[in-house]
Amino acid sequence: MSAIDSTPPILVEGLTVRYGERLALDSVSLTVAEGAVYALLGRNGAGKSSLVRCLLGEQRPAAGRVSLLGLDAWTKRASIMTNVGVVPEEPDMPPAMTARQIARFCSRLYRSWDAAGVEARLKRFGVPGKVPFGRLSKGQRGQVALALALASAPQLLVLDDPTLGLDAVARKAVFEELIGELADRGSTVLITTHDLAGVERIADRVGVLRNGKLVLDEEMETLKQRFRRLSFPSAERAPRLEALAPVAVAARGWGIEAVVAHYDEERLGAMGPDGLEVSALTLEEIFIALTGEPGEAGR
Amino acid sequence: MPPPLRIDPHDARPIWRQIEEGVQHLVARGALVSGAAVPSVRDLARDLQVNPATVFKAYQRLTDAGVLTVRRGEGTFVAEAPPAVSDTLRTDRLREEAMRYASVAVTLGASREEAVAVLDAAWRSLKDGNGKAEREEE
Amino acid sequence: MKGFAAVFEREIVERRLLPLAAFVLGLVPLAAPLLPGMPAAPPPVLRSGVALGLALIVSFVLAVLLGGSVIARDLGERRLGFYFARPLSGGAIWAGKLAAAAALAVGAGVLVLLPTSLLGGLPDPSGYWDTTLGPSLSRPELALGWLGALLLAVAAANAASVMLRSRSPWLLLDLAVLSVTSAVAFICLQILIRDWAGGLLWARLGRTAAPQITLLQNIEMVMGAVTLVALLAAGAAQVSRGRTDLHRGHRILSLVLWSALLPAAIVLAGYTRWFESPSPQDLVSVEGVVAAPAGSWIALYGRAAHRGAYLPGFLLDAGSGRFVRAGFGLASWGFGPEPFVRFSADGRRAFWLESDRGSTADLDLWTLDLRRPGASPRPTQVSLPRYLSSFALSADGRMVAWVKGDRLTVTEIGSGRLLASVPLPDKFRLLETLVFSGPHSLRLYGFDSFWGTKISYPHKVRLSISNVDVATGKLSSEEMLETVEGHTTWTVSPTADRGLLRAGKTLQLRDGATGKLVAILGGEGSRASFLPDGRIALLERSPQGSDLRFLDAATGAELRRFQFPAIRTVLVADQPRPDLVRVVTRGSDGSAPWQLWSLHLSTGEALPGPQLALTTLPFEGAGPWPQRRGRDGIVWFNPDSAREVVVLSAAVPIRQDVVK
Repeated sequence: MSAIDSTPPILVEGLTVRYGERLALDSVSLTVAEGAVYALLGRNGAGKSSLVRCLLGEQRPAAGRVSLLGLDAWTKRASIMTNVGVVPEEPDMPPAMTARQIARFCSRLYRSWDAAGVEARLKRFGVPGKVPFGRLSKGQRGQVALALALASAPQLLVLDDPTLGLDAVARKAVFEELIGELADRGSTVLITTHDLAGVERIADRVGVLRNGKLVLDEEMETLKQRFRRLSFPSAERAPRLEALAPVAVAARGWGIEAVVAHYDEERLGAMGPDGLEVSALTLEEIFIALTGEPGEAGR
Repeated sequence: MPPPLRIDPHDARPIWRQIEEGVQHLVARGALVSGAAVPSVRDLARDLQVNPATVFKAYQRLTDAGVLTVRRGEGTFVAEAPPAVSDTLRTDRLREEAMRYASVAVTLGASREEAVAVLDAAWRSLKDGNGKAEREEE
Repeated sequence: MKGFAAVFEREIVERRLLPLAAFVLGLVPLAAPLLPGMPAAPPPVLRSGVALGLALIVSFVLAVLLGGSVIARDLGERRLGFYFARPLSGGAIWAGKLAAAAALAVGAGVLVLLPTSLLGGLPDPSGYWDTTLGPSLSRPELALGWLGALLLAVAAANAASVMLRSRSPWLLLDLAVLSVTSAVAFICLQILIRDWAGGLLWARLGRTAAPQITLLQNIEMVMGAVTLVALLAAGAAQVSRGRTDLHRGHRILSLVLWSALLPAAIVLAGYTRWFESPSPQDLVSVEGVVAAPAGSWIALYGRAAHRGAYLPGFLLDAGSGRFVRAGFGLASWGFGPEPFVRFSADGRRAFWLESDRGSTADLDLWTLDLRRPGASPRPTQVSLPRYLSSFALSADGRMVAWVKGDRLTVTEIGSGRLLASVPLPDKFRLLETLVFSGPHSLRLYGFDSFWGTKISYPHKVRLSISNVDVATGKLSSEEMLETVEGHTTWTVSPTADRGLLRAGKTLQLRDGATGKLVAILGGEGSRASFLPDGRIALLERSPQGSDLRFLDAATGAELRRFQFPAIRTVLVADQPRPDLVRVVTRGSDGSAPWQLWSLHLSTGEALPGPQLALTTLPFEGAGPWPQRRGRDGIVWFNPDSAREVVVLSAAVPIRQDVVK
């Protein structure tokens, strides 16, 4: 089974999910192109888990459609999963089975299975193969999940907060594996995460969920190009801030700091330097600006 | 041991740009000489913790510009005679960086003489490092 | 398929210690004879008994535990997502897990039996079978039943576990619907059991094992299968559509399960209602019939189509076709060709015995007013013991008397008051007739001879007649001995002053009070019966035809004779006036229509009447109710016992033209 070449690996249209009265996802649409790395960001409760559940065919949306590799995620889940690797937020492998037994179980379900690769990865991560899954540390569990997801050479990888609760070393290991996988196969990846610094460098495209709505869906490059932090050393030397339509404004001891979403160099130049400092923002800083308190809402 | 190349998330430039300019900088400085091997896409991606596609894009541009060559089966290497960066580009770049340095200096309240002196010192330290590399090759 | 196999294998491998534990447990029965507290029995019997019991317990406990955890626990602890993120269909996940649970339960049971089997062969469960549950089943049938029950336990445990774990308000709905459906099923089963849907014949025949599975067992199997299928379908739907959501899964499970079981319960209720509501047309054989002395009502019972050994009873008005169901069938069965129904002399009221409270409980006396169209049967205050040997109703319908063992009891029906309780001399009575010989006197006739069976050698028959005065409770007895060859029948006149005795080759008229011989009426080919006014109708058949003679009851002298040349079957229907007797005749061709005759005793005229379409009730063992029913009346005729009941409908006119 292979997807029609023109259909993107992930296609979400008008996805709406309700839990009783509450609207968890409000007509969300996004597309992930082949070979792209899509980072889905959002604060807790923004709707990320609901979206991932719909992607994986675990939940039926109230409206809209989700298509994975060209097929409907709910009805064709079993055949889609032959080509998808999933790392869940909470690794849910049977606690009584060892990593090796789980790998053996999985190997029977896929067309191709890289058993040697799983062994190599487990060794690299330092995960013992004969210890029951339930008795592994949190980090080790995540690493086993990743090793299993990669072993079937999937066309699509869905990682739901793969580095949650991991220390810096473990996090680095996860990203390295991921990068290696991308280098070898160029799989399409959708990753939800809170580790913005980690995902910043590998994501091609970013989506931000806020209260069930996708408030941002943009290429990483253009996103970083247009966000700037402007620092004015003194209040009276700051040009009319409103004209710049800042996303966030903060008064500091030494002056005023403003975050703008659409940095226009010429316009700013026309206002005169006045000791102005312009600096770029990290993804984390952009995210905070976009999803901070209501009133400072992102654009 | 490959020369250091760093990605700065605070930098406004896209990552591929940073890699591209970084490699160009190393070549121009002489830290990477003609025929020297550059790290593979995968290795560099892993070292920098960036998307291999990004590294690939940078390498692609460098190859197009003639700075790097790909020898199939062997890897990617610095080209034999890397072209000089074009004059206009070069001048633009110098001017841009100079403007940046000047505004920083002004903001800090330094005088022109102080600014020039510090610039001088930086220049000399770079040259010394470069000179060392040149002497080793001879 | 490979997904199912992978899940199945995985579940089993995780619990691979269970079979080992089962085998170890199976070693316990080997030591059974040595354990204290064991009943005295040969060691192999003890061993197999313990092994069977242990295997049963272990397999069912495992079925419930595994069935309840194999899916529900993963679902509750949010670990089912592991399977759903793999290329496994919901069906493969569900089937693999449930099949593993069932296989482990079955396997454990087998392993518990293994050591005992290796030692002394496979235990035979039929030896421990409680035959009150039904005929003993063969080993393959029992194994199949055990398998089905285990599967049911697994599926039910899974459903219950999901419902309980989800802790949603739907559980209340589940409990409500469960109570309703199981109550309906239980009640219907009780009704069907009470009606002896299957076991009557088998039980009465002394519990001999019947090879075929009875109707009731069939019904129970269908119920079990329907429940199993519903549970499996609901579980599959829950996994494949509810997926990792416990609450949604619960909702889907409940919806599918109850939308299958609730209609099934309704169908069962409908079936039970149908079962309990046959009409006389549904009878496939008639076990017994009795006609009212006046009017056109008869009482009959027999087996009905598709209802196993159920014996519905009916009070049927031959004239209008109206019928009322009455439950005397079961009580009457096996006690002779007359059902336990009595009519008052004027034909207005019917009384009968029935009981729905178990096979050994007392019988209640019920009554129905036949003249009121809308009346329904009512119980009276009177109860009679079940295994009585005879009972009688007074002519006015106010008193009932019965004999059980060596006691005669008389009770007033309206008040339930005991009127007399008379001990009887200890006589061995096989053929017994109890009649009211007067408003307050009873007569009990008893034979120590087999009725209905031909005995070819000469044997002595003792006839005993006991007269009882109700008011005083005094008893006087007469007795006589006869040597007879052939079978014996005794018919008593309506007022009990005369009796017709067939003893061997002769047909005798005897005094009803003393038993003394009055006259010999005929030989082997004769048949006689009493008219409603007490006179005797005697039929003699010869190759030329039939002779119907009417005799005076006091002396046996002939009063009138009518000849029917070339006619073999002559049956007396009724006596609308003292001098007018109507008979129906039929030629030798059994399918020819019946011919009505009006016979005038005073003038000797035999006036042919119209041809009648009469419904012929099949006597015991014959085929179904005939397709063409006659509206002119009913005839029930048993040539073996020479008993006949003919009831002409009111539509058949009584000839008025001959005036005395």
